[in-house]
Amino acid sequence: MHTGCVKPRVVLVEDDERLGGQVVTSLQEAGYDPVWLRDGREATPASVKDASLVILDLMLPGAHGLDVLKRLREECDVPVLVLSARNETLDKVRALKLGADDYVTKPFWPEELLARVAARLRRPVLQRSGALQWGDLAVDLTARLVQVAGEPVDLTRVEFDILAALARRPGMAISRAGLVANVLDPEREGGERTLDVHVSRLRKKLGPCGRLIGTVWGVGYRLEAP
Amino acid sequence: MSLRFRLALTMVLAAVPLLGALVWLQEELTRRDAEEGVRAFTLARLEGAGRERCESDPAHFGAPSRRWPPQGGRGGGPGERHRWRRPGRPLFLHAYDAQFRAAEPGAPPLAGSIRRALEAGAEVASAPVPGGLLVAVRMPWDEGPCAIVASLRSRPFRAEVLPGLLASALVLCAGFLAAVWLSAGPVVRRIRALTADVRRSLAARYSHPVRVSGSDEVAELALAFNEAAREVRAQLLAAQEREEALRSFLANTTHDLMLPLTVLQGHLSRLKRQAGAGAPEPGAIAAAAEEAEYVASLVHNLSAAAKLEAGEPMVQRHPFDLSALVERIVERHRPVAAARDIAIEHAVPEAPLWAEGDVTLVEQAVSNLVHNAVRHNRDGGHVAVVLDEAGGDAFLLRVSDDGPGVPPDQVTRLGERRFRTDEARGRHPEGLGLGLSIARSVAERHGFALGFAANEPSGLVAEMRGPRSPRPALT
Repeated sequence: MHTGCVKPRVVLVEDDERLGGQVVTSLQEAGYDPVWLRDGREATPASVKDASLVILDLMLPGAHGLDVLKRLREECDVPVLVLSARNETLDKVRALKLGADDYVTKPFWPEELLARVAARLRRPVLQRSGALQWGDLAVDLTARLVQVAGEPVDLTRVEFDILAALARRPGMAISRAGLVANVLDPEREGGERTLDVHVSRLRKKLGPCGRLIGTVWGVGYRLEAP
Repeated sequence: MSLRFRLALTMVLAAVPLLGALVWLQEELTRRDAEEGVRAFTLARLEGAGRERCESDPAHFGAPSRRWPPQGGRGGGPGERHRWRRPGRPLFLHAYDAQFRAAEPGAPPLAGSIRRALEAGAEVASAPVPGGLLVAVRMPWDEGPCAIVASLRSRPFRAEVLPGLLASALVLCAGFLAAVWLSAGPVVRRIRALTADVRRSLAARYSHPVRVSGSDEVAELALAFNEAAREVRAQLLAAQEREEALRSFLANTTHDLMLPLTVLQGHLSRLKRQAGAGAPEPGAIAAAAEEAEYVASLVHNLSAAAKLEAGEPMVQRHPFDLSALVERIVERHRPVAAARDIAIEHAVPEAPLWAEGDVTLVEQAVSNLVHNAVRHNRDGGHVAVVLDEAGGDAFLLRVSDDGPGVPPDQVTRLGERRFRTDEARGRHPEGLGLGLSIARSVAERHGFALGFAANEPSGLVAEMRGPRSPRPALT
């Protein structure tokens, strides 16, 4: 669900009445401002100039959709999500090479499409530096400082690195193996058990914010929504 | 244009320059003959007393001889009268001094070519002049008014020679043509027989070969045709087989799709009844969604199976973003998992991980692993899809669940069984049929290792491991 003052405009290029209608409805319900172009020829750089995203059906058969994509890409770099009708690798590879950002293969669930749209509009989420305010938790990635409700928290190097790895992609699960490989010193400290010990200490040190570090079944850890 | 006609034409075309060369040769021989004759005659006339006679009155020296050709060569003694004469063609001799000046006012001038040849040291030279060939002979002495003696040899008129020449040319051409006609006969007959054979073979859809007799080029042509016919026949049979396979594929697919669609219709009908009676039961919605999902996955898998069976060039190789692939697959299965309260989680490394292969097939393979993990899970269970770097140059993709899992004796076999369409087509009660077969087959095709293990305390872990590829440059 998108929340904001201005509804992001999403241009849909789809010639099928039923599918187009369904997609437009789910986009509206999700809080977007959909514009439906039923003919690929209407999809010109001018017609998508206010759009935050374009959903483009490759329109089976032929390369019609690819032509539209090419024309759009010549003049603007609005994100394009391709609906791939055929289960055909070359179409997808061509679309990606022509500058499509992502694709969804038919059949798809409306939720699936909305998730792809949201993911496209959310990017970039990766925070390499700077500061993150996550509820009462403040993490300054550059200065390596952590505060809980304004109070500084003293963390070890490993604890801070774990928190930083989670904070760089808040809300996304990070795998145990990835944390072990990137955070722990392979010489001194070993595997995932050690990691779990560090995480449990980190949670304790963060006090009320400790619950923000969630365990994700089968994956690892995640900075949960405050 | 028939073969015979073509050969005859070639022959005639080849004969024209040949005849020309013959005519030229004849002319040249005649000229030499004339030069030699005039030289011998002149030398004989002017030896001994002849020179004195000439030098005393060069202007009137040119008396006609009476006999031609000279008899007995040049060995005439002084005073001997040579009576050389060509019948009806008197031979006049004209005297010139060393500077080519004629003593006789009416004597023909010596042409430049004659002068040059004589100056260069030739004993005799000739040039065509109106009315015949002027042959000039240099005397053994270099002074006096008779240093050079020339004689005009009238040539036979072209009109006299031409009919004979034409006749012989015609006879020659006719001879050539007859030879071609006769010698081409056997070849033409063999080619016609081969043509008839080829037509017969074509009428029988290349099922029997043409006869090969002899060891010449026609036999080679027959052999080449037989080779081509074998190839065409093989292609025809392969096309027929493909067509047959496609027909049975369509029939089987139709059958395979009817079952889940029937189940789906049943679910929808139940939902309609429940909606009419009040609120529909969430379980029924989940079941319907799952069945729709099953239909979609079945169609994708059948398409993947067809692609795998067709092999190259249907299976593409391109670099693809594995991280994006994982995200797509998880979003794909999330709605069905959510309907059954199954938590589906995923993690990918910070930097996108790339691999190389057919992205559609790999996506379908991983999707099948996730599909199985969701489908065979209990309500409220967990599914995790985790992509990690494994060492510097490999990826590890793990799909785990906490469902009931698979009996231990079957776990190891999951990764072993080879892909077989017949076996895979059946809708396995555990759902370990087509989907896993496709996953195994795709992994094998890409050189990825696919393994299965029991998860603790329950469930299944599928692991796919393969080489990473560099991220392609943006184009």
